[in-house]
Amino acid sequence: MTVGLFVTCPVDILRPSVAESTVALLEACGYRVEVPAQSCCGQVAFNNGEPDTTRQMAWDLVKAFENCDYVVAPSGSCGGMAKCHYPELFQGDGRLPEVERFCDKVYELTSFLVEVAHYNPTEKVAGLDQRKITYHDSCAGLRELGIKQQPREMLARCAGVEVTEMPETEVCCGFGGTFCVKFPDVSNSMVTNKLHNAASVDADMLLGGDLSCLLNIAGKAHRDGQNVEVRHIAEVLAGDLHTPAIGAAQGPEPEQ
Amino acid sequence: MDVSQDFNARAQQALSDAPLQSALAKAGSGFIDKRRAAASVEADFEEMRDQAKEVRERSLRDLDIYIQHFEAQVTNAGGHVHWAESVEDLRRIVLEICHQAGARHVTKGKSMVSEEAHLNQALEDADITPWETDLGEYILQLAQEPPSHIVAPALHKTKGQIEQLFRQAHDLGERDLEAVKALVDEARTVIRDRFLSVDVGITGANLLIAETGTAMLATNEGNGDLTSSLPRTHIVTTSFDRVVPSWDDAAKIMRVLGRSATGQTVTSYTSFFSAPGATPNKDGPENFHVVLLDNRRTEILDSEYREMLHCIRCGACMNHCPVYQTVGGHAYDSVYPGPMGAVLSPLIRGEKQDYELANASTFCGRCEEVCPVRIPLPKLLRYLRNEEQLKFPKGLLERAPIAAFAALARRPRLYRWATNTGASLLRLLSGRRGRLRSIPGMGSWTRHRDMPAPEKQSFQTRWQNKQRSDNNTDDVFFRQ
Amino acid sequence: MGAQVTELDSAAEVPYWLSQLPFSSQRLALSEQPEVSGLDWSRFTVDSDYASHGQMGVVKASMAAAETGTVLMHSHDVPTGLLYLVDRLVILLDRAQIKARYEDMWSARSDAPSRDTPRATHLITGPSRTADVEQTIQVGAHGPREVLVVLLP
Repeated sequence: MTVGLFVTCPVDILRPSVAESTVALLEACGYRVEVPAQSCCGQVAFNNGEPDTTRQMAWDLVKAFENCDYVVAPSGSCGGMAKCHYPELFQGDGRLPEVERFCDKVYELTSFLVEVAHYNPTEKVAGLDQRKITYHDSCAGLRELGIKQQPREMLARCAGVEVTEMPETEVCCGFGGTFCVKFPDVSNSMVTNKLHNAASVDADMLLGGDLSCLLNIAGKAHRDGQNVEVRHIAEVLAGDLHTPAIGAAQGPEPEQ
Repeated sequence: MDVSQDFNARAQQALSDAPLQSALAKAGSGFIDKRRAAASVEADFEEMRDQAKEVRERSLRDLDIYIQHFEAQVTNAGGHVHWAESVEDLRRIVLEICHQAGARHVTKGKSMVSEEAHLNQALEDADITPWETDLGEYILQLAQEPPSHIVAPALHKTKGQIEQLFRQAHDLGERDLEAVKALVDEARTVIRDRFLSVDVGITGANLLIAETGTAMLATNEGNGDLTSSLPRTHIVTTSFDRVVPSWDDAAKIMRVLGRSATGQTVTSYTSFFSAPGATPNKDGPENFHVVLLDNRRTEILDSEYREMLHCIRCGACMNHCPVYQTVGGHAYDSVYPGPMGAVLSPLIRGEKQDYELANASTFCGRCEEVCPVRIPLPKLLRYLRNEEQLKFPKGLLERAPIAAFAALARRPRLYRWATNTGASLLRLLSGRRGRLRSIPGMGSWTRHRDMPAPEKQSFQTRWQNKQRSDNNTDDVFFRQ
Repeated sequence: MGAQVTELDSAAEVPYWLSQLPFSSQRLALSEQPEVSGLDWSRFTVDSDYASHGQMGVVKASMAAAETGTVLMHSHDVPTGLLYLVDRLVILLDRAQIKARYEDMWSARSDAPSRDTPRATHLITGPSRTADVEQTIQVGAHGPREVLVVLLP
């Protein structure tokens, strides 16, 4: 069976190693992975009053994956956009059946690994048992796609990790697409809370399934000097712990 | 708070308001924990929500039949129903009734519709003194502030601030007001006499039951009952969309209202008020008036926002909203704050600044998750953003980024080139630090946080290169 | 729900039981319901001016709903003022009148002899309370500080 990798813009542009880890995981499950030429799911246009533009971008994405059996994204928000919101854009449009067929095959990565691939590697990722690892439940993944247990299950299976739950793990980190740039002070307050919550359980590693959230959280952590290693769950499940963490320097931190 | 400012300005004010932040912190987790406890104790809470949603859907489907039946029942029992298309109409009707009753003072139970219509100001302008009896509303009346929450209107006030207000307003000499009990007891004493001395009492209504022409009022304090039942005239100010067909339907709403609002299975007092009828009552008003406000709800009913009228005003959405918890209700500059207010305010007021509320959301979806009648609030907020674009179009400059990005996105080669170039530039600027402290044109982001730097080359470019290369070894994936 | 519940074997025991309670006041307001006013209240001073001297009041509930421990009274039987202006409210309730759910209470009412809808139907679940001061629950906002339910056979 062929799995089409839905790279997602943040991963594509800002942290390709997440996509590489995703490919490695999918191939380890025995799938053939294709990466059709693609761009954006249209979420930003969708959430900012541009439904016509969104529809164009959505159709491009649907067509890009027409020959794949599954479409897997290392993202709850892009995955949620493609899986849950596309039908609304094509109501009354003759293309709706094809769009719905596309939506049926869209999965967020950890839910695909648990529910479809039944991934359970014999070789575990080493080196994490001494870490205090906490998990941020991204809003769209949680509420649109029901992503909650799956990443925790995969961390247990792949790395023998039991997540140290922080308070308010389901509360928004304050990214929210254009929200963080339109309402920077409110966004800042929210991401500050998120980091306080992580600190309150002495987490030294914070994982999540959405790169936008993680960029937000890592960016704030570094600005405030909070010592927490922020990574995408795909990286950890695939055992990529040597790509520098999000926002971290290559090699030792240079002088300020 | 200067309401001519925009949301950001009001938000900044809220963020630097230490007493407000302290009050919000106390309230925030309390409501959330209580609702969670109430919901988890009920094996069939989700079923209760589905039933409540069904009741509201059915109520609105044949709304005109039910509201007419309601009016007939009220009238047959000796009461009066008045239709107020606008808030001005509502004010005029209430003033007329008060004049006929010769009222100089009126007691008031909490009514969001009366806040929406700025009724208190209209009463005062007509030399009629409104006395708020709900403790929260009473506190706000002393502070001369609008409510910041639809269930706990003085949520934004600390105990210390309330004590100060009472000392200033009540001439009661030396006394210890340190404890909450002392404050509540004092309010009880001051307000008790007022209940007994007025000719007119004004309340809101949680629901209107068409079956018997009855207004349902759910309170904890008992002030609604004293306001409605002691004076000779009782006026209910509410909106026509609160109607449900039957008492059985009301029961289904009762089951989710308290649990969602405060974590109570039911409020201490749930009362049902009708016109006097022919059979003698042991006490109560001679005159029963229900004033039904429209204020564009008829338009909402016929629109894609119809589901907003399902709202039963429990406040769960704002209790769980991370934005509301950060800035409080006044930042919304509307009597209806939080997620439900962000939808309802632009729909009933329609001003440009109201649409800003729809933007001040991350669409995290927690509101919809807890709404007892499952209103899809994020979707309605998105519709409002679409509508804002049509009604108050953003300038070309503001639309340019998304338009440009979309144009790029539709051209894969150009997209790859542009994203690679952008990423390379950011990487160059970050040096070896792996992040940037400031980026031209992205001040909003970098004001508070760093921006992690991109890696070399976009993924799609790498993948394409890998497909072309002869070497297809696995370790390619972890090369830096 | 914040209401104290006591069980007695018959309504006749109520006045004595009430007189023995530690807080019991001499003054008492009674509803005109025969099941209440017909009891022997000679130990007390019956004062119907509950608005001025509202200390303790005794009423009989029509029925109750077990789902939330809620009692129902209405204005054909009981004045609203009596329910809300006393500091302590004593509510007599026959066990046989306890229904399972709110809907069962509504149908029991419509089974009763045909009458107008009462002006007011009161569902009471505990004493008056407020959380308007820093979310701290404080009992005795405007209505009774205490509610006592007496279960009779």
